[in-house]
Amino acid sequence: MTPEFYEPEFQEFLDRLDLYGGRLETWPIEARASAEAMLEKSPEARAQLDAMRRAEAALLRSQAVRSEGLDDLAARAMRVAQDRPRETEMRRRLPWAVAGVVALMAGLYVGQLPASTGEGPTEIVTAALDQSGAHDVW
Amino acid sequence: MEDGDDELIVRVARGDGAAFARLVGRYRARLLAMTTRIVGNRAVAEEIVQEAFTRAWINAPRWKPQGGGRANFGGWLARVATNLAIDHTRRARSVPLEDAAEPVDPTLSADQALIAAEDRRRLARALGELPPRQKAAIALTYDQGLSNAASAEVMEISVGAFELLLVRARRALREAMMEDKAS
Repeated sequence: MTPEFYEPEFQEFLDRLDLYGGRLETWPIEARASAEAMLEKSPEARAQLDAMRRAEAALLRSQAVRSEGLDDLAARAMRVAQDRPRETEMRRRLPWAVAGVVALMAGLYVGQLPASTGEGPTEIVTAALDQSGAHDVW
Repeated sequence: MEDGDDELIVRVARGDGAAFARLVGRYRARLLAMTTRIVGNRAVAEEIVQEAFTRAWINAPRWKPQGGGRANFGGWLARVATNLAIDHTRRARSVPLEDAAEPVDPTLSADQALIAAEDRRRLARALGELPPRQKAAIALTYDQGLSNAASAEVMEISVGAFELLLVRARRALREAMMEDKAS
């Protein structure tokens, strides 16, 4: 490992290489100028640029082989898609409509229940305590 | 003149199979390349792409044309496929990219062809070790050809966060090439 690995300028070159990729012509002008200066003086910088370019070339080459059998895929995608029912607006709202009807019916049912005795929770608890003799303990 | 995506989607919403076929034809290759890159397996990628198109068909009636033409629908489709692929990769064990047979470029000399084949093996190994979201960043950039801003939109993250993923992924690939060279 050469000392230039530790130089901030070299590290900045690597950071930009990872950010912008191996095509220097797509880099921002200022970054490109300093990269070209770095490449001029540093064999290690040239090696790193070459590594990035080889990785990108391999990425693009491996992309090119993936076009076989696409007609099958298209036919299959269309068949499966067209077999699957669509979610129409009515279908989407149906569960909410059902829930609304159930809530309405529940409300009507509760409304028809006999009126309560008028005893509130406090009275009920007091009566229970009286019966149990709890007041004596407290 | 070629129909825009918005026009085709409106027709798909009405059940027009021919319009759907044109959308499938327009996006299948790039989508498959991108998805294969993320999941590392062609058969799984085909299922994911199929599912993405199925969702497009189902959701077409609710699609709101955005006037941007291809980018909007394409971005939505890429987002669906990317999310499905990332989810799959997280569930599945890490699988190295398939070493599919690659046609020999006739313009390369024998030496160059050997180097290219070796680089591809190195790349496959390094890609196989990347986290799913970094793979997605590579796929959106190199297979979909999207800008950082468009890729960030697909992944529903900020441009800065996307660039961080891309930087880490590129660094790993670059270092893999260098390590192999050193060894």
